[in-house]
Amino acid sequence: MTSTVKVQITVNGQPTSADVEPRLLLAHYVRDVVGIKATNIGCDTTSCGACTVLLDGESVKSCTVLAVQADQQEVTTMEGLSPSPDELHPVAAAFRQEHGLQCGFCTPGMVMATVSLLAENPHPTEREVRENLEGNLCRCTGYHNIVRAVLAAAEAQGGDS
Amino acid sequence: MAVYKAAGELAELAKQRAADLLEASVDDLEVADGRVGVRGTDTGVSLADLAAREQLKVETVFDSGAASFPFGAHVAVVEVDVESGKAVVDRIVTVDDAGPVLNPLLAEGQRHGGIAQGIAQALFEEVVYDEDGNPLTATFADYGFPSAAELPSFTLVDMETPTPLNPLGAKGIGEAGTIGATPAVQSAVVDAVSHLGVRHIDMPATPLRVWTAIQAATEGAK
Ligand code: FES
Ligand code: FES
Repeated sequence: MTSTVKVQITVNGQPTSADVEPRLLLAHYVRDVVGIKATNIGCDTTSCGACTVLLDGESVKSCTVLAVQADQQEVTTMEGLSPSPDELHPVAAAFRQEHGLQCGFCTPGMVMATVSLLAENPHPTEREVRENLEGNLCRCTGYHNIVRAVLAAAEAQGGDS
Repeated sequence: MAVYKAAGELAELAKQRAADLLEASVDDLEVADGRVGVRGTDTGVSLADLAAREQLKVETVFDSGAASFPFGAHVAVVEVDVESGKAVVDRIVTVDDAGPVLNPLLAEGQRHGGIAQGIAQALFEEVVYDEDGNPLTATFADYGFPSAAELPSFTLVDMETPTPLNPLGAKGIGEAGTIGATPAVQSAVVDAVSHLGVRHIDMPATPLRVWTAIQAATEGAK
């Protein structure tokens, strides 16, 4: 018999709770238990960053965090970022504006990593953007427009330098 | 091209049907905004109405008769640390001529992705097996996949030479980046260490391979 653990995790502002196996990954909690699918799983081994979400405001690779580790904390996924499709979060808007995606598989992770990067460093240089997004892989864009999108988002957000 | 040709044929078919219906001459009709109308008047019929009477359908085949010839040029500036053998791409400037481009945003995206993959093939990416055939590069931890930190921004130069082989003059673009970037970067790496006597390095030019080539060349020179 598998023993389960009760977790209470706030996902995109909504309280969620479930009895989960201790080995359940946060990525699977979000996708399969909560049932929201923007968070992608690319490698399951902490290499690609497709599964990046915010845990209490900091970006983490949700394939490398257990759901039980997120107990009593707040998770934000791409779904929780923008109030509505017409009112995109500045980072999501910049990715759209600058065409910072092609197939879109890396995009939710890239966007979440960018939100976290800009929270820490509101005015990064191109070099800083590139180094900070090192954990997020993209096969399609060559990162060119992704970097432009991050710089444009930084510009749009203003904030303290 | 087949879609373009079929769309034209479909418009002709719609005009013929509309001509019968409106008792007008085909020459006076035009297709615009989802309607076939008599030029210069309000008289017309929507494509939806025409299709509701009788299915509007054409089948067509487009054969260009020969292969079109997209072309371009890629120039790479690469810096090599001769102590460690590590090569870094500083700049890459590319011209890729795909003929007239319908959607520049998507075409540029194709070029960006291709350039990145081309650079990566020259410097990082390789599927490796051991002698028993076991894959050694089965995860992103083992396979050399470039992140944003390993690549520069790219400089794209536009050029549009239409091909006479199809009505839109369009040629290919999808793989242009991977075709040009790989030899440009690889040749730049060899050029950067050629003063040490290096003439060839196998792809991908990993630090170990570059360092080994430099050692071999300078050993030989002693
Ligand atoms: S799926 Fe989590 S890093 Fe790739
Ligand atoms: S857009 Fe396809 S992997 Fe990034």
